[in-house]
Order: sequence, then C-alpha cells, then structure tokens
Amino acid sequence: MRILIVDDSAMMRAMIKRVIKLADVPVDAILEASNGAEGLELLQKHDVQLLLTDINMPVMTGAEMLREISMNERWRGLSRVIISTDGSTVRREEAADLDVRCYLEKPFSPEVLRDVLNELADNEVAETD
Amino acid sequence: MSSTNLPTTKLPKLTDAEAATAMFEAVRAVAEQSFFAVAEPGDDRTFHAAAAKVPRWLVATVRFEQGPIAGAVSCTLPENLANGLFDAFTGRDPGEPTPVSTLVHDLVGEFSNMVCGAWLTRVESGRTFTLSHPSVEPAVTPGHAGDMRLVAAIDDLPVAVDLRLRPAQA
Amino acid sequence: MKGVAETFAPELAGTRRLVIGIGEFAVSNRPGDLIVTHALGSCIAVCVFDPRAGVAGMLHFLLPEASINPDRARQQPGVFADTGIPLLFEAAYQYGLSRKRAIVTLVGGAEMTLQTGSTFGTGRRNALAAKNVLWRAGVFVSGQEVGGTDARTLYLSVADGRMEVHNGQSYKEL
Repeated sequence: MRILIVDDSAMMRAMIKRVIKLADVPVDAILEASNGAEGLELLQKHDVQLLLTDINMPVMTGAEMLREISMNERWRGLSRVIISTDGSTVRREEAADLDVRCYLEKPFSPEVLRDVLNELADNEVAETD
Repeated sequence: MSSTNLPTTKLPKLTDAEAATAMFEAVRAVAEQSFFAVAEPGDDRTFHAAAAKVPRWLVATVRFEQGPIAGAVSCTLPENLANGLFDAFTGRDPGEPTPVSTLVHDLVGEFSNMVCGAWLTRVESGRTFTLSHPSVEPAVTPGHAGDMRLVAAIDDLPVAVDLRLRPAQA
Repeated sequence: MKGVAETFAPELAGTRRLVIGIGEFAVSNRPGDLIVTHALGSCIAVCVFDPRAGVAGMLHFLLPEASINPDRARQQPGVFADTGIPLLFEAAYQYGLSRKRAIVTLVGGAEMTLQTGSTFGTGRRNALAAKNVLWRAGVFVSGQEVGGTDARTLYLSVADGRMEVHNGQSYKEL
C-alpha cells in the first residue's frame, strides 16, 4: 500500500509516519506533501491507495484537493481520511459528500490513528481478495 | 485563569467566562492527547512569578475566521517546554540529535493550530472555520494580553494563550 | 529494587500468585501464574501480554519521573514510570515478548482525595507519564482502566492475559 500524507506541519507528518511504521501496516512507500496542490502533483505521478489529509493549508486546502480528486475517475478507489482540527458538523457533512472514509479530529492519540490504519488496511486486503 | 473584557466585537453565544473555559479545555485536550503533558489552570500571580524565571519564549500565532468572528490565537510557551513537547510528540529518543530550531518552531505552530481549532470547534460546532499557517517568533517576555488572556501551566511551566478578535471581512 | 522473574518449570504445576508492591514488577511464562497487585491508588500498573509467546508482566509504579528523586530512583527504579517501564519490558523481552505483539494495559491513576478535599493530580500525571514513556518506546496502549477515586486491586492471568480489576464494591474484567 502506498500512503500519501498531506499536512502543512512537517512535525505532524513525522508523527503520522511514525504511527504508520509502528502499526505494522503493510506499506510500500509513504509520500508527503505540505499542501493540496503538492498532494495532487504526487497523486498524478504515483499510484496511491490511502490519502491522509489536513484541511487548513496554504496554497490549496484539503477540501479543495478532495473536490478535485472526487471529480477524477482515476482516483475513484483512493481511500481518503481527513485529519483536522476542524470538528464542525458542517465540515464532517462536507467530508461525507467527498467520499471520505474516516474523519479524525486533532488532537488524537497515536492509538486512535493506529486503529484507523488497521481498519483501512483490513478493508484493502478484503477488496483485493 | 484570567480574562479581560472583550471589545465591541464579542463572541456570539458565549460569555467571557464560557469562552475562557472552552479555551482551557482545548489546551488540556491538546496537551494530554497529543503531547502526554499535564495542563492545569493558572492565575495571574502564579503565572507572573513563574514567567519571571523564563529567559526565552516562543510565540505561535494562528489567524482564524469563523462565520461572523475573526481574529487570532497566540500560544506563548517557554522554549524549554517547547523542546519537551517536541520530544513527547515525536517520540524522540534522548540519544538522537537535538532538533534544529525550525522543527521546534513547526511543532509549536502545530500546537497553537490544534489549540485554536479545538477552541473554535467548542465555541461553535455548527460552523466551519479557516486557519492560517502558524507564524512563530521568539520572545524574551510573555508579552501583553490580547482581548482575552488565559494563563495556565503545562508540565508545571507557565503558558499564556491570547485571543484577539476583529469583525470578519464582509 | 525487587524484580520477580520466575523461570518456567513444567514439573511445578498449579496456580501461583506473584504479588508485587510499589516499585516492583513481575514477569512470567507459567500458564498457571497469577500476577497480583493491591492498593493501586494514584499509582499505575502497567500490564503486558504476548499471546503467542505466552508471556505476561506487570509493573506497579508510584511517580512519573526519576528526576523527582534521583537517589530513590537508583535504589528502586521501578518506583518511577520512566525507569520502571523499560525494566519491565527488558525482562519481558527475555521471555520472548515481542514489542509489536505486546498487548499493553494501564490500570490505576485514581485521584486520591486529601482530607482537605483537594488532590495532587498524581493519578493523572502518572497515566500521562506512562503513555509518554510507551510512545517513546514505540509501544501502543491497547486499553486502560484509569482515573476515578477508588483504589484498585488487579489480577493478571499469565495463561491468557485476562485481567480482573477490583475496587472494593465491584469488579470488572478487561
């Protein structure tokens, strides 16, 4: 599984990467981007199965990036997770409309992210079988 | 915790005390869940006594807009607390190289980002909001209060969270 | 510091209780063993279990950081989270515990009220300190039974990792 992490904080990306490695989820590569525009560039170049993205970022927000993704048939199978400080009902409803599978609100403990990754990895295996 | 009167641009639906309580709850949630740090409410006298012993601070500011309100939240932390929070968040081993200041600044910015977002979600969960990328500056004092200042202690070190409000752009 | 680590001896069948106190830990791979600790107030019991290796262990620590009392930490490192938890894991690794398979549970961390009605907040500090140490070691916490105001007694079965927590009025299985 290739995972793309999109967040404007390098330290948040580092923490998420650490959880991924410790969770023992089968991962081929972990890609990183600091905003939605960079995220889309990486998605164009690489075959990614799981996207973990923040919302509030400069240049292009996570919501704008997810809208672009939802309009492109190429990324129909991409699993999308939002990791954001915005826990408003409005944002969660918007996420549901953009085929987001999981909405993780910051702050979160490492175990919460680990559980999300394990569930998505199990689903990935089930869909491949 | 302490708060000063808000200017004519006030928070809809919340009293000053409710806003301050929500801010401390946000600080505590962020400190405990992501940084495994103990957050306790403070008072002005204790804060100033502890702050006098702090030679260097970091001030991380995030601007926000949420419906009719806009402004900025600034978190002011002692530099040694910032280093401790860095280690806790990243799981850094003491044997690893000391992180460069840009990475610690990034971490403090993310701390402030999370506090601001957690507070806004508590203040008005029915509205979404936008946040700027954090700006982080060093300082030699904890500075002056904004429209509202919350003082607290994280891992027994003094912390100030300032809220500044202005009317949202039409 | 007293650390109790018993070697498996098949000829010695039967249930055995390994009772640990403050600052002590026990590790075992004998299926009939029960690791027990009493009077878990603001202290935290860190329990580990590896179902494949059949190893279980428990540490009962009192305070978050050895820097609070370095002299005591030298004599009894198990009293502190940051020195005791690594010792628990080092002992458990010797019995074949795997960090990735380890099921880690935290119990205790109650806020014990003084006669004045105030608390020190030690229980909360201990729980956070344990989580901090475990995260730095790259270990996830699988479950917890922390907080409240009652002291607890904890039983950990080495055979299957089951735990029972008693607080005087009731008990629950973890």
